[in-house]
Amino acid sequence: MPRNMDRGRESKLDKQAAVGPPRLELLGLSKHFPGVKANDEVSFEIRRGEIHALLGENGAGKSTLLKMIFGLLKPDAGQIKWEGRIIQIGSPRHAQSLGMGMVQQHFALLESLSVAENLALTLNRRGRFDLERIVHQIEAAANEYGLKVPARRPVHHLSVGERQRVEILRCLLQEEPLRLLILDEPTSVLTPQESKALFAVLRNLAADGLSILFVSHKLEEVRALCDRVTVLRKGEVVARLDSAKEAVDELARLMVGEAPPPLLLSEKRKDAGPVRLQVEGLNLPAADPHGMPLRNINLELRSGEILGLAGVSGNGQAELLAALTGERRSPTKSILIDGLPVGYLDVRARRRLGLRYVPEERVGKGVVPELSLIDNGLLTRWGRFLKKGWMRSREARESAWRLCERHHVRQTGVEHPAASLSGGNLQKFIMGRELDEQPTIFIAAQPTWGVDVASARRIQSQLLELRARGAALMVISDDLEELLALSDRIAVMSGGRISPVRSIDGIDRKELGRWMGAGREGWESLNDVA
Amino acid sequence: MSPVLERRPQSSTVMRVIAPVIAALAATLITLVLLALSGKAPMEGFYALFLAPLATPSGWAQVLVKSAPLALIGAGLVVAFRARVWNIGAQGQYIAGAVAGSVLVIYRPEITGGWVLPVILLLGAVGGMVYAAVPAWLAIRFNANVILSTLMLDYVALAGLHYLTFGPWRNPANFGFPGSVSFPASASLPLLWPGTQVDLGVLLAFFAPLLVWGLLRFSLFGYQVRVSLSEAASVYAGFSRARMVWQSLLLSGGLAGLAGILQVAGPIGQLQTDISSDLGFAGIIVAYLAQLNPLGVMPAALLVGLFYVGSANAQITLGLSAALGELLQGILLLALLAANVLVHYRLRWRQA
Repeated sequence: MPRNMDRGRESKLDKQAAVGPPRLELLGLSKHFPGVKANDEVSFEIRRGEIHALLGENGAGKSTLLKMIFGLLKPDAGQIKWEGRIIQIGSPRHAQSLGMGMVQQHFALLESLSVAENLALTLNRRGRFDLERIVHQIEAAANEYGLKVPARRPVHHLSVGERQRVEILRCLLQEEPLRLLILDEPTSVLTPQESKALFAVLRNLAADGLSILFVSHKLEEVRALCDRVTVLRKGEVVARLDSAKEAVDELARLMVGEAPPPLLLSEKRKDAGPVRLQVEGLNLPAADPHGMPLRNINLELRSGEILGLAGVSGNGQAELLAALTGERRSPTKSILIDGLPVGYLDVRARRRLGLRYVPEERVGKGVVPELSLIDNGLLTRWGRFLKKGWMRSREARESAWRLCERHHVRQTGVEHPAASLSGGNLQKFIMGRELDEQPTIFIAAQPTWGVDVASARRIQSQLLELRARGAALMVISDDLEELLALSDRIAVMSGGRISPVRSIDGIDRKELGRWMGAGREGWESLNDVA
Repeated sequence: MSPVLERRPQSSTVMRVIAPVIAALAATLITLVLLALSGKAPMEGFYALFLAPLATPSGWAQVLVKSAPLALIGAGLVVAFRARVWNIGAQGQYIAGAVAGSVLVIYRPEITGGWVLPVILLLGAVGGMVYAAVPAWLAIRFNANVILSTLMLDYVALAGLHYLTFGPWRNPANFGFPGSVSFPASASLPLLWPGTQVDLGVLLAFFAPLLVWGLLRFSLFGYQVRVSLSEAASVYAGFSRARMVWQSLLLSGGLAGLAGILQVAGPIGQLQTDISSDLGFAGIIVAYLAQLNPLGVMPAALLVGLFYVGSANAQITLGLSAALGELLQGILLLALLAANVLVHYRLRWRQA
């Protein structure tokens, strides 16, 4: 296969046969934080040219492990061996100089600069600032690795998939030839098509000898892409598999410890009732330069029905939620609750009409982490605990207790700050607080993101129960599987627009995937008929 | 072995109480060193600064009188700072309160009646509130930075006071010296401790922290202040940031204004060019020394009041510089910020 030489530079990847010492070896790595053992004697190895999966559910200790490998944290015990030599990785700079590169979930790109300018920030340590050289390197990499990225375009014009490619390029073009590429939950921000394209690129890179550490909790992808799997649970390695081709159930069982409880689908779906919330022709400019304008949004939430809103985060979901809930005002007639124009109403007024919601940001919005569970239990319903301007503290405390009991929130006492709760318990608390108020319209954004499987199931069951009681629900999630399991009707949000709404029966996943990638040009460009 | 700061799993309550003590000790230690370096006998200096005022009843009275406005201002600033409204304008609001409260006396110097004093105090509080309403409006309407606008308005108030006391409000009988007429008896605060300056104002001032504590703990406003730790959560709860800015500026401005008029109607007795308005800045130190807890405002105010009285005393008995008092306060604040690190982190000795 002919190689494109970039002005006489060698190809950046080491093309060695898959023999010799493993590229990276972890021996008994441990890390403790006050009160919790994040990693306990973790050992595994990554060979040359291998795509190695680190599988584990949220909270299993993957992030901490990555931070230790990349020099962001020092291990409390254990050793790291790089190509057979024991080393101490002092900093990310050191890790990079060894030949490691990491693509994180949240990109470190400056939106107003072009791709080349962004890469120039980290690649041009020595010598003159030479943008043209970077542009050439980018174009050469496109040919060599199949990673197409428009070098001169400003980043805010790029799709998320393209931005991720820029991050991967950053690793490939770094000073020290890349030997290990670490990807932290890379597909959480990609459409299905973009994921496939990414996998093709990764397989190419691995074939050239690059080692890849693929961190994920998505079983199907791990099976599709990876060679070997290490399964992490509660900070410990519970399995090292030589082939990722294990059955999904077996992998799930290893991740969680027992077969995940099946989602209780209540009795067969009744016909939907009257329309409770209606959005008509909502157009809203972006609130800030990097926001997403909403364009011509039309949707309906009906009694006894769950509308699922799919789509990769960052396509206007946050703006839509702000408009629906009243955090941001809209043209009066564009949003109707039970036929009444409510676009101008604020959050409290819409709550009084029966609309409640659970935001995507749990810590910092759903609860105030420094305040007690008692105070947080009142956050969205403080009006009920007032007597002539004074708060009823005894009732507030009891209410917090009952909330935790009823919703199985494990805590060390309701006076303790909300920050002491784990992700799953926190979400149970927030959901419980909202559901206990018997909402008639309910919107949940990313309800089970980062939540352990058992709590996630509970939350999903609660959503179904609420539907059975006749509420109109909307679930916004970037987890397509979850939406397919919960929704009655489903639509995709992309580029600030909403796709045609489809009933879940007979849904075409490919169509959904295409819509997720539609972006600002709209569905018409895909020749889809509404 | 080298020392390392390790984050605590939970903030230490014990340290929250001890940190100010550590800070005070550190500040006094540094002061002693400075005294020694400047050629004065450190132990004599220490006695004059910190112990002499407490040795006699009249010394105690002076400390109380000095601490009272600090407690008032500090209590108001605790609320504002908790709500992340950085009111640096207590000095200006203090002056505005003094001026507003003096209006009645300036234009009716012979006024009598039991109603006069309460009205004057009320005018003082309102004056402070009105003056604080300006930066509040600027912040909400124009997104003006509260720190800058309140600070700049301090200078406006100082200039305004200067103008009034040298110009239209100058008492003609003052032989050309600036200052208003003296406050008549009906407009003066009754003395509680004969032979000293401890008056009704001192009593009122020390109630303020308690009232603020009750407000923050039990009222809806207090809940809003707690939630305002997180901007996004306040939006989620349906609280308006604009209202929080108004309410906290008005409350802290009103208390500062009240402190101003209490000084003028009390110990000073007339509206002068210098009415100790720098107490407005010392109030910031008091608020932080109290760890932004209203219950801590009283001990903090007493401590800073002690520093004031002590440094004035040391000027007289030892000839120490007048700037020493301000220097002490600054060192105290810095020491407190450093000691506060221990609330969230603990010191561990690690193998290098």
